[in-house]
Amino acid sequence: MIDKIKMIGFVLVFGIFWATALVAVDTMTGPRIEKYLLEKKRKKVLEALVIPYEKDSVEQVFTSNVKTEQIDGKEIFTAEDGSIAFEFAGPGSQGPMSGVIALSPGKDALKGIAIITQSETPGLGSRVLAADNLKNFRDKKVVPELAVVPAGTASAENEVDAITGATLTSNAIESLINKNVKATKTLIGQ
Amino acid sequence: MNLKELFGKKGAKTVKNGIWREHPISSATLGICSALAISNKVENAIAMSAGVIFVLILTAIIISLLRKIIPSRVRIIIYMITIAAGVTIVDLVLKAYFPIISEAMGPYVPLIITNCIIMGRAEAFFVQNPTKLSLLDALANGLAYGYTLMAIAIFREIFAFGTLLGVRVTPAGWVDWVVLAAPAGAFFVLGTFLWVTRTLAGVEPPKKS
Amino acid sequence: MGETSLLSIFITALLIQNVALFYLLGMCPFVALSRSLTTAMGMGAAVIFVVTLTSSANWVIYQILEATGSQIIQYIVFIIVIAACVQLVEMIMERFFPALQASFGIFLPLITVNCTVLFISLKVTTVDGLSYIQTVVYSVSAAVGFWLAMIIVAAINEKLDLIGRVPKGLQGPGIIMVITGIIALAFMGFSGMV
Repeated sequence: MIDKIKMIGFVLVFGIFWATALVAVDTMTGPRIEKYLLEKKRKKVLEALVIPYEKDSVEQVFTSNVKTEQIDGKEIFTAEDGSIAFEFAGPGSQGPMSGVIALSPGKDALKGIAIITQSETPGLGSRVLAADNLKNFRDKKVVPELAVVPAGTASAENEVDAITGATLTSNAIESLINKNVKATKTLIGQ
Repeated sequence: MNLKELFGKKGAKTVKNGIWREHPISSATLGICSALAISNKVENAIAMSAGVIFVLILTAIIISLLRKIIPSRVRIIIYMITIAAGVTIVDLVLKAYFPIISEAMGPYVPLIITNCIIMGRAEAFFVQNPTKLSLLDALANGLAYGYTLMAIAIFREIFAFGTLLGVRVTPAGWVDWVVLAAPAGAFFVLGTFLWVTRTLAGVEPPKKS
Repeated sequence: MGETSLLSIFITALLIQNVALFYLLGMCPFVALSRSLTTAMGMGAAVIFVVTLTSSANWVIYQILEATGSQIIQYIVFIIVIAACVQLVEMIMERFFPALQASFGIFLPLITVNCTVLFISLKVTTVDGLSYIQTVVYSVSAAVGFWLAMIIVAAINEKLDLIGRVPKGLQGPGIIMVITGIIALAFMGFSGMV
């Protein structure tokens, strides 16, 4: 019986020691991690709103150009020219995807897109989401809907070229954009 | 500099064992998960090796110091708590100071806990040997693991991405062997690595079961 | 992944993001037990059971951790829960299914340190944040996927043992790696399915 108590006691003391040590490490690293995550989000919002920034001036550029408000629990970022940005998340073709969508002041076209997380096929699907390719989405109309069409055939104002071999990712981003744009426009009453 | 002079007879044997004869990956086929998953870029391999070495050393110190008072029946739990705590620390440090690498390695960092090498050494060595030897064993196994990971990563990064630590090294016009970036490629490279090292170290093939 | 259908979770975990062939996990037992079909079958069945049990338990525990803001000890708690579950399963089997225990016997302790088990527990809580039902579906599918990979490789390995002349250094883990690599390549073809 004594042995059992000794055993359990040892494990408990050992466990508590380590739990405390970890809390200490967490307190030391926590603020830094939070700062990084906040800066990361802000960078993406700026990227989507096509507001340029330097590596060290993210906070400054953000706070002087973007206003943050909460509408029904969703963060909406408004830039000085009236364009708005918001985060989105949803299923990609291989796993969850998330990023920031920005709409033009008239709310009828895309200002820009930035991707935060994705797990598409490297070299294929992920090329659709590369910063360079995302530039093709800028200024495209989202009314009635954004359409991603076979590579080289985009003509109308709401059409974007897909990348051959990355159809699924192209489709995924198209449906995510349309869905989230509609939802947000309803949210802000447009 | 003779290994024996540096570490004493026992120490030398410990080191040689860890690095070559009983190499954790080649001969005991331990710790393969990360050799496959993290080996496609050299910077990730370095981070992973550093993490594993840190946890190995931490575990070596704690377990060998406490080896005489750990009740035998709960020793596995004690190993687990130590290793899990060590890995939590590595995870936090990576997230705070190397966030890009932390994101690239993603869910594989906590999996250091299940890296059989650490558990294996704790049970086979740290709990039965004095701290100085345990530290040497931890270092030897850790470095062996590290050099394997890097060898595979250097190979994969050069052929699959054309870079080394992000610096372009292949000539223009070289077509990347993208298959090596994919998980499947990891198997091939590791298989080849095992073939070479096991033949060179004269490891006996496992008996047919 | 809130709206992802259960079917797509199942297919993704089974074929597209197969725990062994895509995430490259569970290799220690995979390599050790893919030599023969019978051991592969046994291990696979054990994994399915343990994974579903542990991830359900860990999911519940994670809700508690989140509610109390103590996620910092998540790894420690998870791994101990896993070890405890495995012990529990072993004890129950010894008591009620001794024959099964005799054949499963050695695999169970191996599963505790199987990266797959911890990975799935982590994925359904911190990485993907699934609901309970999604967690169960995901766990079962992923474990079945692991099993599937194992029996395919084991079957091929057995055949190879009979007719092939594998070079000495490649025997054992080496050739298993090569076979698994080829199967992994094949599975990459599934990536368009969902």
